Amino acid sequence: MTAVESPARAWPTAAPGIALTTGEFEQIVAGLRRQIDALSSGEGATTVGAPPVIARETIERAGYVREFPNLLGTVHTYPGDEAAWLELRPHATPSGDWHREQRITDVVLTPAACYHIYPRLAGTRLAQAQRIAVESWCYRHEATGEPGRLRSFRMRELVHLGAPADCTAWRDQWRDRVENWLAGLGLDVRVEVATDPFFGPGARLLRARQRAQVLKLELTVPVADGLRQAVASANYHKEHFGEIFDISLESGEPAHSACTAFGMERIALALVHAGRA
Amino acid sequence: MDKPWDDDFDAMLREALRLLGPQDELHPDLNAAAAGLDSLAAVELLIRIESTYHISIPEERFDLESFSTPGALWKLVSSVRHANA
Repeated sequence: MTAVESPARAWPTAAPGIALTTGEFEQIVAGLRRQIDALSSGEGATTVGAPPVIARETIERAGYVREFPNLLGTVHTYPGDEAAWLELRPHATPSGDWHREQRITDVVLTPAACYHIYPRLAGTRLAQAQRIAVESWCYRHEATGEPGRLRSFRMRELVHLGAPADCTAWRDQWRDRVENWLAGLGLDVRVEVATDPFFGPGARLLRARQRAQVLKLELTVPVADGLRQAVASANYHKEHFGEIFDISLESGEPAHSACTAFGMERIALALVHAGRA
Repeated sequence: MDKPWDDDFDAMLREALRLLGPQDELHPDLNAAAAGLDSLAAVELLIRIESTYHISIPEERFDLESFSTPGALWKLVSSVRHANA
């Protein structure tokens, strides 16, 4: 622990990876948001606010459940009547078995902000490239509680939908732009070819294909002594979302998509760690 | 034509190549993507192959060509089976 602790802090709670943040920390996040908006001011993007939950059908349709079942946070509730609750009510204590009748609902916790965007464009034919900025509280049921690996966090994203070459050029432009921005904040940034944390027997193939096609680039910085974490990423999804959500180009071909994602808490933590907050 | 692979592989591949007709020839240099093998089908095929032959193909053995043709995939599967023998 440093002799003088920064007032900009994330406080741990009883749940690992779930943090409270101080007002000073929130000021850093707000400042980052303004800077990201300034970086994207020439994009002509439509800005969207998004909730921390999303239709379960959207996430199922997008293939997230199939590939990341271990990270998805589901929302359950009690579907029974008052009479049946009388039996469970005595168990509604810490560690009690009150939840044995809980059933999954029609919403899940948002795993990534951009999932809110594709259903809005479903069934459309794009006359020109679309750019959308979206921020959402996200949840991923991470197994570890190392610094910077929050389970509940804010993700700000810029999404680009258009032709394949446009998407890759846009993605690479944003990779450079974010790298320069993070370096300008005084952070020791590296760009690394990465993969998503696929789960299950197909994970090896999906990771290998993603890596071979350089679809995911992560920008990592130190968030604690000896620990680097990805604070932003630049991703190219190819036609994945265009096909699933029937978003097409004027040619009739599926639209391709790319996104740039910012982990707001992680960038703030990195700034605090570097003494640049 | 003699097939370079066994009947199990032939059956699994035909099921995965959803655009290949039952009478269509399954030759080693067939374009698997054009025959309907998308990434989802490739994952399902991999799971079946590994279960059938009791193998686990190491991640570093996959590349973009691994599932490009029946011949390339059989070559990969054969080499892993041979290494495990």
